[in-house]
Amino acid sequence: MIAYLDGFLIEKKEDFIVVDVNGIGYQVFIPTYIFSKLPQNGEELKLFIYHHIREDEQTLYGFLSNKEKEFFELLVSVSGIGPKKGLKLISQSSFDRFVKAIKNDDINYLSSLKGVGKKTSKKLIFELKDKVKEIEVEIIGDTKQNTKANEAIEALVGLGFSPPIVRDIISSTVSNNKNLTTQELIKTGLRKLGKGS
Amino acid sequence: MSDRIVDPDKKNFDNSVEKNLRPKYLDEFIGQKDLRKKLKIYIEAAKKRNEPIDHILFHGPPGLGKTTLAHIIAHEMGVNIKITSGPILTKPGDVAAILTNLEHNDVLFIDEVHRLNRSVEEMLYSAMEDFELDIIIGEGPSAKNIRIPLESFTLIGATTRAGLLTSPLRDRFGVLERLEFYNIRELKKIIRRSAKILNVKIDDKSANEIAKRSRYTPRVANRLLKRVRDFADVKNNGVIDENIIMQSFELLKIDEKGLDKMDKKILKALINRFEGGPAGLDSLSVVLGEEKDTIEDVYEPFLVRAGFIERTSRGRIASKKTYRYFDINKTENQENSSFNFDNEG
Repeated sequence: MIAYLDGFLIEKKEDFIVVDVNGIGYQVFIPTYIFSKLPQNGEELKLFIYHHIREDEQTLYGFLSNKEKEFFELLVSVSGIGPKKGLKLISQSSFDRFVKAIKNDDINYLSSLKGVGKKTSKKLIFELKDKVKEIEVEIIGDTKQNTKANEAIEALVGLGFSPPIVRDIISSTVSNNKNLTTQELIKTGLRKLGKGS
Repeated sequence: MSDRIVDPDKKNFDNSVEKNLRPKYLDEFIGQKDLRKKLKIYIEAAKKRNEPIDHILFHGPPGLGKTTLAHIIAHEMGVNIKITSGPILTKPGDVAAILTNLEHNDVLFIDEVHRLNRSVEEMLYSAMEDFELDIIIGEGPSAKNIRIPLESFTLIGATTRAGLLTSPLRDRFGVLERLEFYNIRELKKIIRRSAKILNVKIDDKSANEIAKRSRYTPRVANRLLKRVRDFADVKNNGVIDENIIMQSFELLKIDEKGLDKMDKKILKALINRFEGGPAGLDSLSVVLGEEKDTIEDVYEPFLVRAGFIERTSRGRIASKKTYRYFDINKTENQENSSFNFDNEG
């Protein structure tokens, strides 16, 4: 079983990357939110690997930290959620937000994700709540600024933009300017999203 | 999308040359005389007040200059224009992102505005009325309304199907103008102007021959001119004369009335298979082996406007003009259906 890969990032595709370790290229599927944190092609990269083996294929799923990988293992242990579906779920959210939703019984948030109904949300919370107690996550929404950022994220996601992209844009905007109002954050986010399209 | 050279709908291959042929000022724009006069006043008044022009809806058949006029308005106002179209704006965020990137008094042009998604359209309401975006966060009692101020702007909508616009959207346009078809004289002027820009010599008679075949539409006129120019470049040192015109249209199979192969096939089907009509759209579709929508939206409008077909509650009827065109006697044809349907020339 492969536990981690330490090598060089060779290429980025829509939902996977290729990592070169000693002349062998490994295809690794990763959640969307990781893409913005990846180095440039040719630079060093270490990924923690969930190695999925079936009789007809082997697939590697990669994460930037061991706790993310461990959470992913917990997620796919839930009946009805395989690695592909698991990856789709956390790709729409982020590791911290997903774990927080399970810890806080946030059925509304979980069922807002594509492919998750109320029933699956309840199942996820029921099966994982005790298991994720030990997992440390970045607390979102404690400070005033985080509340504004969360509101801006919620507004932009409500307008139809992809959660991981919105999250990246808002967090980089907040880190550049801590004093923006919710309106200003939304407007800046929209400007950046408009220029990107 | 049909590949016919006389189809007034926009084609990908129109883009590059159409850009060069577009007039930049109202004074250069040929035709639509009354509309031009009104627009001139609206532009001057808006500039005097340093305000954007009221939101404008242009409607009418394709190829008559709706997009060109939007460019002209922006140019005359000295502002930027952002161009998009109804089907491209799939989510409210798409239009919100465009609106927040507009500068003071800019023009946003939305083509096929009747095809806007409902949620996108609703986002436009407050933007058009108050120059603000209304965004709701959360649901139920904890829902919160956030208003994002925008720069003042002009929305210019264009549509070929004004009837499909919802009334809340239509009511938010201050100016609603229909573009009319062009007459031969105007089309000749357009052809002469385009020929000059394309650096091709053309005499008056040749310009007239192209104009006659242009289906009252500048886009078709320019497209035909470009095709004839190809013939002229290859066979006559870039000069368009009567001889080149006849050769070109002979090969393109477009006659002096602007009818092409498919138009004739439709008219012959009406006369021959349906004894002049009335014929229902379903029956015509089966006989011609064409989709109903294609017959109705692509082929029919010109044939109706040119007086070859009459649309009645009972179906399509071939007019007297059609019988005269094919040089056959109506009663004679009904008695003896010997008219050659398959010869489509």
